[in-house]
Amino acid sequence: MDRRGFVKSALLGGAGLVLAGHALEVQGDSGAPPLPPIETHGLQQKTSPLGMPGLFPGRVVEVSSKDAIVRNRVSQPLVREMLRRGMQELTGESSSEAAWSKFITPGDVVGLKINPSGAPACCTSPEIVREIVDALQSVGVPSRNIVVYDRYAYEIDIGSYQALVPPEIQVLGIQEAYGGVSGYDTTIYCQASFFGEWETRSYMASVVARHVTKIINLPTMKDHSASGVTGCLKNLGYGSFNNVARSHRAPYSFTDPLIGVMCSVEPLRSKAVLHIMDGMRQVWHGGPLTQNQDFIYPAGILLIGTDPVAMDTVELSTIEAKRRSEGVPSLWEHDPASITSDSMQFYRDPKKNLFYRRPGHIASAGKLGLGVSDPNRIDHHRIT
Amino acid sequence: MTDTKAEATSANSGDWPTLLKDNLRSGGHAKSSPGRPSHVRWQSRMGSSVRSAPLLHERLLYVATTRGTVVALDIETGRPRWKFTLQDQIHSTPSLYAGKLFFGTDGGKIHAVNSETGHSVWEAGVSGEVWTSPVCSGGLLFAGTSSAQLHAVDAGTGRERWSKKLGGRIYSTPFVSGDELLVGCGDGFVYSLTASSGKVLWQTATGNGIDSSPAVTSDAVLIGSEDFFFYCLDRQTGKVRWKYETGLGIASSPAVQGEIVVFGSKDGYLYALDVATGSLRWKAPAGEVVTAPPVIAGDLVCIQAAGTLAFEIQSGKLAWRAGLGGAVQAAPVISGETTYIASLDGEIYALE
Repeated sequence: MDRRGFVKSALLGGAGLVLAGHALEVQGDSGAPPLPPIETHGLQQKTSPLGMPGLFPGRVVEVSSKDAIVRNRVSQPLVREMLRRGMQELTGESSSEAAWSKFITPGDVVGLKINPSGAPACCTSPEIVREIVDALQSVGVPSRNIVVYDRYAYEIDIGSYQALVPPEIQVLGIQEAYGGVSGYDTTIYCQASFFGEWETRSYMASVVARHVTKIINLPTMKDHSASGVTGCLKNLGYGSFNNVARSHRAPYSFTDPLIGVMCSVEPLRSKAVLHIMDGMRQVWHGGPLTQNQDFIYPAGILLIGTDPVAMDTVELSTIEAKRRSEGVPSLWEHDPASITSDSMQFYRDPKKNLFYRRPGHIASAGKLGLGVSDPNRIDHHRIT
Repeated sequence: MTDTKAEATSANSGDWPTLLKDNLRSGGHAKSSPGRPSHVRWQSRMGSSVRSAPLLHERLLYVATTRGTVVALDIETGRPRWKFTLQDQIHSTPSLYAGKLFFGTDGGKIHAVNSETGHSVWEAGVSGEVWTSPVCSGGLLFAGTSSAQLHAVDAGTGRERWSKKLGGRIYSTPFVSGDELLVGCGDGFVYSLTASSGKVLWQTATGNGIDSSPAVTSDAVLIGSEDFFFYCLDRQTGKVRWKYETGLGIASSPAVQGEIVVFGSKDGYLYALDVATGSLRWKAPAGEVVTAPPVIAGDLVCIQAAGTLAFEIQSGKLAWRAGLGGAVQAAPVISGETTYIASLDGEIYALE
């Protein structure tokens, strides 16, 4: 343990309920086991100024175009234009190259953390990946130093990313279908026993810990049956550590606070310098894996920022609004009558859910210093 | 145009020495229709994921794993006859040709291994990772890479004859017949090239990248695109004869029987179209995203999706469904009454 610190997060254990901001003892949720202590072993280093919440805390740029997705196809030229405008708006720079140069240098090895879960119906659009690769190359990053990655190789396959992204960049599925720690750094981990599981550690992916120098996070915009939403935080935290499904065992979930805790572990926190949320398609029920097009809305937006907490707060608000308009329960709903153990029913009926969702992980991450969760303090720029 | 079926087919008609049985790449065409599997004759655990399709040749089943092991299994017992191991990953479905087993690796090499002994014969460096199945024809191997290069390599020595840079990553396994090479590309084009030199004869754009491999008829090229369309192109000119729209992208390579072409879409359906007109013959739910290629066996077409499903090829009626085999992308090998399946989690099943 010469180069790393051992941080026993007493605050996250004993004070976890306070930190989460939402007491567990709410209606229907009283049977949940208590939140256990969570220990983190990360690299002992000072957080980079580019690390979360990054250069623009509280700022979220939303770029929308009604023509960006037509008949379920994403427009490459419109994505290019949306990305250019959004990056310049975020940074205040007058050119795309200057905007990208605030985050990336030619010597960086850049990881693009896609979200292929939910492929093919709703996953990070290859069109967005292509444009980001193009932007990285425009500031001097060679193709060989760009890695498109996610945890599950087979989900990447279903999305056909190998064929669809530009030549020579690496496409990496960290692990095969099941288990094992190959591809993970066993010296960097989060440890907790949520439900008495036999493996209580979640290890950070080696590509994150050792290979890339910067990460651009590319989540999709969708609800999540356990955490409320999949967004920047969950895509990054649960996509960088293994053995995370153990944090939620129906109907209970400890995604709050584990998602934020994982994002706070170094070097992940410092390397994640930019977040571009793909809202071309928006899943308002059945996430993260649904293939049901009835619950996927062609929103045609991109959210861009350096503050994952602020971005997820905007995402949560957007999906809540959509659910309200569809006449289905809030993501905060904890009525036992809304819970089902029948996954088929869940995938068909948007009034049902498998878990008592925990969207409070966003506020918890804010309390860990990862960003701004107070909507009144979020600078939400909309560009059409 | 010559038929190269003989180049990749042994005297044993039950053999599958390359992806989808032979160089026609038209869907296997096992002679008899297997019944619904009733039991597992044997099951063999590889110890890591298998993302390529097995091969069958002279009573050996060849399997390549993502952790770099190639295993020859005795089809009577499922026990290994030999193993060949690399410090590399293998996603490429091997091909058997002239006593050698050829396959590509993620580390950017093509390997030739003696199919009887498992000993290395040669290895050749290429431009990037190779996921396509090497196609063996006229003494050459053809394989595409992630670096957008198409390579032609001497099958006897591993020496490169030519390479050609295309516009995108190549994960489509080429079709080769005589001097004709057809391949889909990540840049969204279907290319026709000369197999002898790599000269581009024609190229036809689709609306997105291509992950599917082409099948051909006497005068048409059939291939799916990630633009949700399935295309029929004129084999001589590349002109689009018709295209058919599905609900999502198409990575599944097509199977052809007579006037019917069958393929899967990521929208979860298996489609059968009329080759001449592109009109829909039938459409059947597979219960899951389909990325695997269908395989034809007698009157049935089989697909790996939510288990293994067999449909009557003329009507699309579900003939049977078997729960074994969790592979989402591997094509089964069907020989007589036995179906061999490699699952995503590395189990190899011999089903009867």
